[in-house]
Amino acid sequence: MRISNSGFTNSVKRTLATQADRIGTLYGQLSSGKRLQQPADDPAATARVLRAHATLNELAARQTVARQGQQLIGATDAALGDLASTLSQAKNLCLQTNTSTLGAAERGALAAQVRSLSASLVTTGNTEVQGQYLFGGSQISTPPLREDDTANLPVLYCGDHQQLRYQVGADTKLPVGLTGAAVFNYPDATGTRPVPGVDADAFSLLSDLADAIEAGDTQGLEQYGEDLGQLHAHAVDLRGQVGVIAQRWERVQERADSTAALLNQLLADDESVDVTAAIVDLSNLETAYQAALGLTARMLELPGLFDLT
Amino acid sequence: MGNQILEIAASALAAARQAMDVNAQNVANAQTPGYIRQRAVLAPVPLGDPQGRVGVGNGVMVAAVERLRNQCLEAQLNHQEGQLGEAEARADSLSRVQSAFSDLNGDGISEALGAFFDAIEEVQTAPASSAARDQVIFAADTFAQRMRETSAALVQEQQTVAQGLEQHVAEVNRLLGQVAELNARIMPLGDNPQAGDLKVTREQAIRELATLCGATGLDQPDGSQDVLLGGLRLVQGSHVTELALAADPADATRQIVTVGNVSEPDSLGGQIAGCLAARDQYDQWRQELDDLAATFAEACNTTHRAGYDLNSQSGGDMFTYDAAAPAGSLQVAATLEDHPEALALAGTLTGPPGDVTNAQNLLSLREGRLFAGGTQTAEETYREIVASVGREMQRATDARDARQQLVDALDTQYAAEAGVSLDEEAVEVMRLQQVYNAAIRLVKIADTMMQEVLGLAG
Repeated sequence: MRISNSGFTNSVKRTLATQADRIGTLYGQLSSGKRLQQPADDPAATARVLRAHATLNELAARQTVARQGQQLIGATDAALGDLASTLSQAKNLCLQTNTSTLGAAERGALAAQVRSLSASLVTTGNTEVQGQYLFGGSQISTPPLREDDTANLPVLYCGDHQQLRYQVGADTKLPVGLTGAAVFNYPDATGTRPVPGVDADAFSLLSDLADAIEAGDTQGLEQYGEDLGQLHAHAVDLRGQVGVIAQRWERVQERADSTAALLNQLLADDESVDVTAAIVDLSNLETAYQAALGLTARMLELPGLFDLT
Repeated sequence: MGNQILEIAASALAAARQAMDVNAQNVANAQTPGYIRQRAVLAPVPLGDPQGRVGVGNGVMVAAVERLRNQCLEAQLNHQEGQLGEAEARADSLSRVQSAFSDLNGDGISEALGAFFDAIEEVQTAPASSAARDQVIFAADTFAQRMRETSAALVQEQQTVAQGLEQHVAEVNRLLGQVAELNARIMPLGDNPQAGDLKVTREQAIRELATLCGATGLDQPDGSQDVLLGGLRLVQGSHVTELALAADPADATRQIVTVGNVSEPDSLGGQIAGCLAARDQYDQWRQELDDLAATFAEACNTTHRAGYDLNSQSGGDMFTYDAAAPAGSLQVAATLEDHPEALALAGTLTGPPGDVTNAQNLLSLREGRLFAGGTQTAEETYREIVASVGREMQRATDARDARQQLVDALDTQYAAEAGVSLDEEAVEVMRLQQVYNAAIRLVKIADTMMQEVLGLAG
């Protein structure tokens, strides 16, 4: 083929520009560590990468929620443990009083013990985690239990009956606690108590028990002992339920962790540059570019016929 | 007899010198863009003896200066230049727009939209916290800002394209005028070698016209070249029909290209067609972003209005926008700015602090299939727009690269035929030099012969 001087120089310029462009692309990928620099590099992978990033961020938010959920449920479980233990102690005191002949002073001391247990139970019921009260239902800003001598009841429940739940994902809502009403046997809006056989809340029962101990009311003590037993069984039952909820939160956390790990792997495949391959390609291109430059320089230096005349 | 030798030798000297002028012109233009090499066509001077006496001839002359032009290849090259111009204009514009969709760098709409829902998910755990509520409002504001920025980038690029169109049309008209003027100068010259340089300039202008608007040249017997755009004759001899920009009757904000009384000719190609195609593509993306912004904002507003804030007030709008340009005007409602307590997260009027029912309703919008006929979520819809930008850019780049390869191949072929080879010219000059030297020898021989004849006479 006939080679013209302008054709040769144009061809050389095009070849060198193409090689420099390829080197530039590889350099950009290596310096950023990302295979995808622009959506046009791989539109389908771009959509996948954006979805993966969105999901990873969503999972991070879910993990935050799950950690908070686990913390609240953990605190609820501990509080229920306290409740069960307190009720158990009160029941023991009740049995102890009922099965022995005690003097007034001794009964007074035992009644004081029961009242002390009731006071500590109020503290448990007003447990606060990260500024939120555990047992007020959705009334998380105010203490759910309030001691009030002027009221009919020794301890008033100021919370509501709405169990607090966090939403994880689009449509899954998991509880993060129990209402004080459910825990301490207060009646709901319809007047129904969680433990149907016991027509008193835990604090009224303890108060009545203390009064019965002081008065030596053996008939009453027997009834209160049975009621305390039912409340204790209810507390244990609630702990079981809370355990199941805790497991669900744990699964949410684990699933978020494993999904994030999987997505990171997929992202690495889609988004990250294969450094070894890119470096090999870059070396080859640089070698070819240098060779092309050298060859071009030599060809341009070659004498023409005009130089020899 | 001696006189005849001298005349023939003189014609050889003149022809060789003239032919070497052609070579010199070739050498001088070896790197001139668009230059087509020329060749002196030598021919014997025919016998002009009216008496019909026997003779050998009257020497040599340059019968013509031929331009080694391949019209077929030239037409192909111009056609491909037009296609390349269109693909290049489209790819250049798209590459600028693509950078506005900076989601792969983690600072685009996709990230902001996700962060908005993430903030709502997290505010459940501390619904009374000003910091958590502020985070939701901040995320909403960031999302609105990204929408505005991306929409503004599309509008900006459309303005750039419109300016480019004006410049291209002006340049096309200038070149059309140049071709018409050159036609007027070339036609009277006929086959005169002087016309060669003018033709080079005219061919270069037509090649630029091909790149700009896809026009082609058509040789006429009178030496002129008409410029055609499909079936429309933009230049006929020295008469020009200019391109013009006019308001689109269907949309006064848009401009269309007209030729005479024809609007948007189908045959329009080159950079102008690339600009028009890019502009139309941006209209589509702007519309998709507007739909996304309006539908999403309305869904959030409806849900937010159904909830109650920390002061037991009904929620107001979450976002505000101008219905004429939702994405470009999307903003967080003024009632929420610096008022985290006004975020309506509760589901009931006397909603206690822990009531996050409405926050959860807002969170459910993440999976709400409100777009593409109820088949896509907001995030999926936006990702589809980004993928569409990527696909169009990839298509434009592929088209540009493919056209570039074709043009390069044709250009190489064209340069091989029409370009100047300095070595070839050197050989030709040496060959002509030999002829020239031999002719001088002939003059000397004729002179010697004449001297000897004169000596005999003396």
